[in-house]
Amino acid sequence: MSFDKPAIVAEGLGKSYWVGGHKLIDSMGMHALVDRALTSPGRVVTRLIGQKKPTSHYPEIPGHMKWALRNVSFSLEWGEVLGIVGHNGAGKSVLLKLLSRITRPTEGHAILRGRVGSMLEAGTSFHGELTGRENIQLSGAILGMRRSEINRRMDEIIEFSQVEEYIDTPVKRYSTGMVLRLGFSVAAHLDTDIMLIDEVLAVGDQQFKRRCIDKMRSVAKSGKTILFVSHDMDVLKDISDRAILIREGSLVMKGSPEDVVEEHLKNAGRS
Amino acid sequence: MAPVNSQRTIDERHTTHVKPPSGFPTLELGEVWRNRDIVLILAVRDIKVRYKQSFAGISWAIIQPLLTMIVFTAVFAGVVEVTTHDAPYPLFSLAALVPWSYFVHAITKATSCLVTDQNLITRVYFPRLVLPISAVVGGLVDFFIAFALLVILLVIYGSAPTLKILLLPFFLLFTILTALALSLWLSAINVQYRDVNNALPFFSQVLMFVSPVAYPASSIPEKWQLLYALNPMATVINGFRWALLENQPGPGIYSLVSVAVVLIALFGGLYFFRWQEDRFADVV
Repeated sequence: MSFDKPAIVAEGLGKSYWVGGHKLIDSMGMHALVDRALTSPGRVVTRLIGQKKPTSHYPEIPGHMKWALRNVSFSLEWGEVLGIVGHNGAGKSVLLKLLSRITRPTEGHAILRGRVGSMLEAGTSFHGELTGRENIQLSGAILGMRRSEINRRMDEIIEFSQVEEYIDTPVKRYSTGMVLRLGFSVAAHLDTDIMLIDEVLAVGDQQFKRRCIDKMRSVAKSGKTILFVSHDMDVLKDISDRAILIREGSLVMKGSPEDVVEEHLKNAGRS
Repeated sequence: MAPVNSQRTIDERHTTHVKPPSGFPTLELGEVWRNRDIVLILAVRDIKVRYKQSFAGISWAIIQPLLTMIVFTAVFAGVVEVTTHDAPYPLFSLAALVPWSYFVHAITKATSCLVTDQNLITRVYFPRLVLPISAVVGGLVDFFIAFALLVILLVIYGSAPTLKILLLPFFLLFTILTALALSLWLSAINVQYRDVNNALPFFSQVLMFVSPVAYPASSIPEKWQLLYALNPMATVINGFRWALLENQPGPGIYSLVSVAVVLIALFGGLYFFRWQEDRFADVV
């Protein structure tokens, strides 16, 4: 496989949820089926064998269809860093969740060429009862590292996180900052071709933040392709080659990080 | 030839296609196999976590079946008499309690595994099948510790092993598959309906009464044996007793019914799980 094809191509990606009535449910899910099986069993059968696409006519289920993301298309070349800008709830995280296969799209498709690593919130796979070292092994494996790879980079990861002293202490005794540092450190040492990163820099002290940004820049320089969501506009401008702006689930702008951030802030001032 | 512009080549195998769920799910068991590291690491995590800040620690794996055995012996050998085909009652019951405890432990753990690890499911991608498999595999540590107790008891009673013991691994494998088959269904349903978790203690209690844990399967009238074999744990327990103790009736033709039940439940469960899997992150 060569590098002449883009690293990431997304075409018409969309994700819808059913809002109201119950909690957020996927309109294709078991809950919707069971619900309907109780009210009109016949139609469930026709639905199971018939149409595959979720449709918006389910009058029996209270609530309505809500598109968290719709019609998002873009492509990303090898080694490019794409910043994703948008307000809370605009659909940025949904986009990353779709690309990292945590959840499936309702429509559209995307191709990611290469190993994909994702860091959506640092340290979330940690378990409080385990020590820092044990959590590095756990978290690394879940993020897709081989055991040998983790052990090889163990010292590097510990050193970067600056929690050497407590590395054999259960993580539940850590401060919030320490957990985040360790979490970032594991993910930053992932050796994947594509990195999907969400909000990891939002917390932590200034000094560590600086080190994270430096680390990410060096990762970006090493030829990795990065998709990057942040609310920190300075960091975003600093790291990204290009940026996209997502507003209410739609991709409204593509361009240079400066232009996109400006447009985003202009809108933020108005609302 | 390596590409000149980079030291790395991109393997076609690593290409990810993101697309809407459609049609009949595929099992993708190869992907689970490639992620076997996670199965192991999660199993180790669960064992470590379970016995941290615990005084008795891993010996709980012995205490539970041992105490149950003592209670059963007091009731079924002392108060009401149960035929055991000449086996000492403690041995007779422990040979059943060891696989039974494993089974209950595994399905209990697996049922809630997707909910317990929802922070993983909603934030990292890995084949979700890894979670129930890890729960079922992880329970084996307890099984082997309890099994050691059983071996000690066999020695104390002077019960010499016969060649039948060589078939024990097959019965263990069958126990694992039974637990996994049930776990796939229960864990996937539990994501949407937490009722499963509440119903489970009652369910496993009832299941114990319809399994030959405290009594021999031979006390079930012949005309009900076929129906009885629909419960694969009956075959598991029969198998354990037959392989370990003397003079126990062997697994009969009805065992094939149990095998069929497990295979159907297992493959049905795999497909059901895969069908539901795409929505775990959205509904959990």
